[in-house]
Amino acid sequence: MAAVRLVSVEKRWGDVVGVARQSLEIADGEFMVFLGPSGCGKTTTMRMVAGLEEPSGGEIWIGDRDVTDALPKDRDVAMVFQNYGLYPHLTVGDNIGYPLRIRGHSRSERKTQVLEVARKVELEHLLERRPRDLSGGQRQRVALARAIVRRPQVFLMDEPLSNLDAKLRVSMRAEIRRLQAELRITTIYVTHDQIEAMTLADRIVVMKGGVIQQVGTPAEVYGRPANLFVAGFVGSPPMNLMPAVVQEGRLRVAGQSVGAVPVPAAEGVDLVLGIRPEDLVIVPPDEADLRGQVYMFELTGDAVLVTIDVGTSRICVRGDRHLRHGIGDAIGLRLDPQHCHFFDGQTQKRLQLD
Amino acid sequence: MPPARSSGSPSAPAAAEDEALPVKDRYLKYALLAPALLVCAATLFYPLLQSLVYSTQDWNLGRSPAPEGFAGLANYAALLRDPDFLGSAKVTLLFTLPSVTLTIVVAMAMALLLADNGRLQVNARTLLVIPFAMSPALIGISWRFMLNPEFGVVDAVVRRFLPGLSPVPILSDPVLAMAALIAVDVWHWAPYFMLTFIGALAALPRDTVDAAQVDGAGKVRIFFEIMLPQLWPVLTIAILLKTIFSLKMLDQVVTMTAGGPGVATDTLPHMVYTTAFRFYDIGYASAMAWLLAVVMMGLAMLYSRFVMGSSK
Amino acid sequence: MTAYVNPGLSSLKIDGRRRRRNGRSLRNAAIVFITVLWVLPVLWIMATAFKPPSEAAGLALWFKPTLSNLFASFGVPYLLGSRLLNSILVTAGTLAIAIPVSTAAAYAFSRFRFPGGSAAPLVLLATQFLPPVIIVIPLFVVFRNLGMLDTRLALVIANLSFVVPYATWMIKGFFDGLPVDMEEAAQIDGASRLMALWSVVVPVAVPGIATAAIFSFVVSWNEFFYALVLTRDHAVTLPVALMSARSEQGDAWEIMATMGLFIIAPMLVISRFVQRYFVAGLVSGAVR
Repeated sequence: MAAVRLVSVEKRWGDVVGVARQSLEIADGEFMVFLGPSGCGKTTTMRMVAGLEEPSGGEIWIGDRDVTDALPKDRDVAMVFQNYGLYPHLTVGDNIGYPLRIRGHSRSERKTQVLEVARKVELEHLLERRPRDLSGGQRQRVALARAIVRRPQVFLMDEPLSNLDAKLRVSMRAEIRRLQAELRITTIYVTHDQIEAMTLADRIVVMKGGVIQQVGTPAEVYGRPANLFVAGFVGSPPMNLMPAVVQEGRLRVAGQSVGAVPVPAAEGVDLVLGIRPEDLVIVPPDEADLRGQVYMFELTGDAVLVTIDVGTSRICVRGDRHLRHGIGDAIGLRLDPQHCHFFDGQTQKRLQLD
Repeated sequence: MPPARSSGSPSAPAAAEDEALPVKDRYLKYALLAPALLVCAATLFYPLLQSLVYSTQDWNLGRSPAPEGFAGLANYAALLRDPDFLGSAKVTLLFTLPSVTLTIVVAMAMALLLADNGRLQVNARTLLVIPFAMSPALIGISWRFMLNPEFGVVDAVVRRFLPGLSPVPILSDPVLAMAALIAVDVWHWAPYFMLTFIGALAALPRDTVDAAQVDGAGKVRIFFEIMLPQLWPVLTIAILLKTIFSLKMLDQVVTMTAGGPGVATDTLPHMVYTTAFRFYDIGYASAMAWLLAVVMMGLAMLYSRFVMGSSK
Repeated sequence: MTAYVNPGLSSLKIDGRRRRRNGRSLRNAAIVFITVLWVLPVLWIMATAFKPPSEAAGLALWFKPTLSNLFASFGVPYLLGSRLLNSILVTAGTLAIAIPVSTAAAYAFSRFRFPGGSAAPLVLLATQFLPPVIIVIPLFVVFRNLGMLDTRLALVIANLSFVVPYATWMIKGFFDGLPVDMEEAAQIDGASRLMALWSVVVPVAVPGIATAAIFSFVVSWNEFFYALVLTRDHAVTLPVALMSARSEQGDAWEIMATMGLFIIAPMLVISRFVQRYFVAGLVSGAVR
């Protein structure tokens, strides 16, 4: 168990920057999720922590050791791969026991430890099988078991659930969380799925283009996104973003005057108003802050998602599942000022209002 | 993209297809195949058959322009008792086993060294292929020159650095001549198998190697315990292929050692050659050739089974 | 957890980096060494072609290059010019017959079904595993009886015996990978099957045919054994001409090297293609 520190770490290939120079601290025992689209640098960062990539600059510390130039085997980390990385020619039991075998544990020792760990992931009846005979979920659990068996200081997980089908993903998610909570091992988890990030993380690091956009708890990242990218990336359906500007002392959103929301900035400044679909209320047009026309109407079972054209913007509202509207209907929306997020149109950063 | 059709699916027999095709296409089908069939029949199947026939006959071309009598399996029987033939078989084995082993090992080592796609590696690979594209006859002659105790560059190098050992009579010493033959064969073939292995290494799932590194294995351990077991199918095919090539090898023997000194490098193909074209014993040589061919066909069948087996 | 850095463990830092750097330079050095080792003999032979006969034996790296060997080779008794011509004609003849014939057969095997099914392509491949000695004897006898020994035609026929099956196999593999859609579209548009083949399939098949052509070229050009047995004076090709540089006085190494130069020259010219096509074409099969 150890804290992980990245100090001014960067990775570049020639002129191409994979990971921009930045620092990050992950507390001992914390479940830290790296979230972002493909190519944002999250996997590269994790591989640098693992020792599979050499940083172009900076230092990496695990606990009180500077491991920047250490080989992976000297770092005391364990990794779970997207494609599991199982050894196809070894049985499940030998796969799990491999790290122990390398470190010279005796056969009986290995047997005991492997069995104990296999029980934790409910694989004790599959120890003699080969990976090719197992389902995706079972293979993933073998990979987990192999990572756990050594009791490493740090867990690294590279999109471990993305090859599983949706239902399995949900149950494996819970299992991973439970294991981590029980073992209290510092974990770095990489994913592009923001639901995984929200449900698993103690803290989330949102990355884009090699640059960290925001570090915070799921509540912080969801409730107070630091910039437009985070606002649009986290949350499904995504946050609605509409152009806004202050004119003649009043806020104008998508061309419409909105009195209910206090003026957030100076006159004429380019703004973006962000508001989540669940924070908009559908009301009759004459009681509304914003007026528009229904563009699309989708029933998801637990709610309806209504897509509305407001001025030049197209936004999504989550309404009660009994609501019904026709396409083209005039419709109105009420905004709660508490749930309005404002971003600077030029810098894309969040405007601090309180 | 829909899968392209390939011939030979067991479901619909050829005759059924013939009925389904318009007449014009039916003719086309056989017309396209006919020239190749004709060429193969004339240049391959007919000679093979003739060779089989000769092997059952008593015939020395020096004595008569036509076969002199039916001998049945007498030639074969005589071969199996012939000490020269058995000796040649032994020589062939003595060449094949080391050449296959060394070629594969050297090729694997080269593959590991040259697997990345850096500029150095790519250029090195292009250069290394050159010995492979050389005529084996030219290879034999060139090395015969370089190993020559008076004029050869090898001896010149030895003379400069280890003068006591010179002159080095490589090709006139039975053991050294065989060693030279093997070395030259490895030099010739290793680049080809290197390219095959580089392809196989690239196809290895990266994760298994990464996982082993994180699990704590060092480079050597990773190679022997993680990579090699996964490469086993490719290795088996390579070993079979190289064995067939080694058994077939002839050009270098003719140009470099002429089977000598004595019979030290008189491999089976070479013995067939001298029997047929120096002693003109057509029947006997044909029988010998067929024995060799049968062994090689056996290996070829193994090879095709492995290739079919490992393609999923 | 303290922030104190154990000095013993910080040596871990230096070790890892230095070990990796050293490993890399060692590796590059090994690559250069091996490449030089492999290519040096070839360079040596090429150099020998330009050395005056007296220096052919020496270790000297610096020598005054001379074209005298070149002139000597073209003259009597080596007749390099005629040997070169023979090689060119035999190889060209082999290609001219083999490529169309193999392409047609490959297409037929790929698009149609024949009795024998999947065995047929394997038989094609198996022909590469036969020792050439086995068919050279009957070929010799037949050509002798027909008075065709020592003719270029005989060599072309002999070459075809191994080039046609393997080229067919290679091109068939390539056709198998081409979707039938194009041909079917052409046929629906009104083309007959033959027209579709010619106008649509062949242009797309050029890479596969090129592979087979390069393979056929390399093996025909380098072919030695059949030429050795079936020729004597007139139809001698370059590889066999090498043997003629031997005499009672000793072997004329510089002449052999000159001939070797001509044998190797085409390979160097197409070397980039050789790696891509020739070697790639051998992935699933055999070569002489």
